[in-house]
Amino acid sequence: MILSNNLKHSIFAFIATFTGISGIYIFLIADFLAIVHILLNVVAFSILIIIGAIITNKVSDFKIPEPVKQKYLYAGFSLLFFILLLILIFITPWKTGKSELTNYTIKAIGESIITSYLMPLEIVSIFLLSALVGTAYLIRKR
Amino acid sequence: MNSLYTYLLVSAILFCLGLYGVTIRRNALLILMSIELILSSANINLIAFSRFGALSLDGQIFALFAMVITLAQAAVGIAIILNVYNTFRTINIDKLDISRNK
Repeated sequence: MILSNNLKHSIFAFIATFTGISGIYIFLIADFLAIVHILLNVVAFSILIIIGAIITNKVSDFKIPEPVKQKYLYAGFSLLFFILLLILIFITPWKTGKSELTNYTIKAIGESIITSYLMPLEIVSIFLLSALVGTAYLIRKR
Repeated sequence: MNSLYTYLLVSAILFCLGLYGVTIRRNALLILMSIELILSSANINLIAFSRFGALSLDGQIFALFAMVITLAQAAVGIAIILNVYNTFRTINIDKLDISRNK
């Protein structure tokens, strides 16, 4: 997805990658989040990206510009950052506890959203409304 | 195999790939996709800590809100990209320069 020179191949690799990430969520006993991730990222976001690619490119060729000149420099930087993250991961004494997650999290998530997390839910809905209005303002006709 | 370190490792790999994509790409759509990869790696971390750490289910709800905010950001980002395309007729981010002499 990162290295392909063809936008079509990159979008297909994006869909495959995010389906895999939702598989990771299923392994972590987060079934509701896996479903939401497929709905939002794999379906909605890739449709947005495909529409954007159709509008901003000629349909016949999806060639994207070559990467920047200092490709290996940036690769070295991110490799360095990765090694730093590895060291941090393996020297930190993580506090692992016994979690009381059951097999189905949908009921528990719904209950705690409308009881103890009601305020963040309202804030997020106001935020989504303002994002919607902002998007409609950005793409209006002048 | 099924421990906290595996998921932290996967998340670190995804984060660094996304960082690399943000830095080397010049198409704005691909930069948006790489940012999405970075945010997904953060979500994997949250859910892994909610599975293996002390906090149960709070991490999942936080990841849910993070996902919603990610998608709002993606929608606004695509609107901005389409607007930029209307103005400049390109989304190659090296060619976007308002103060350039034509």
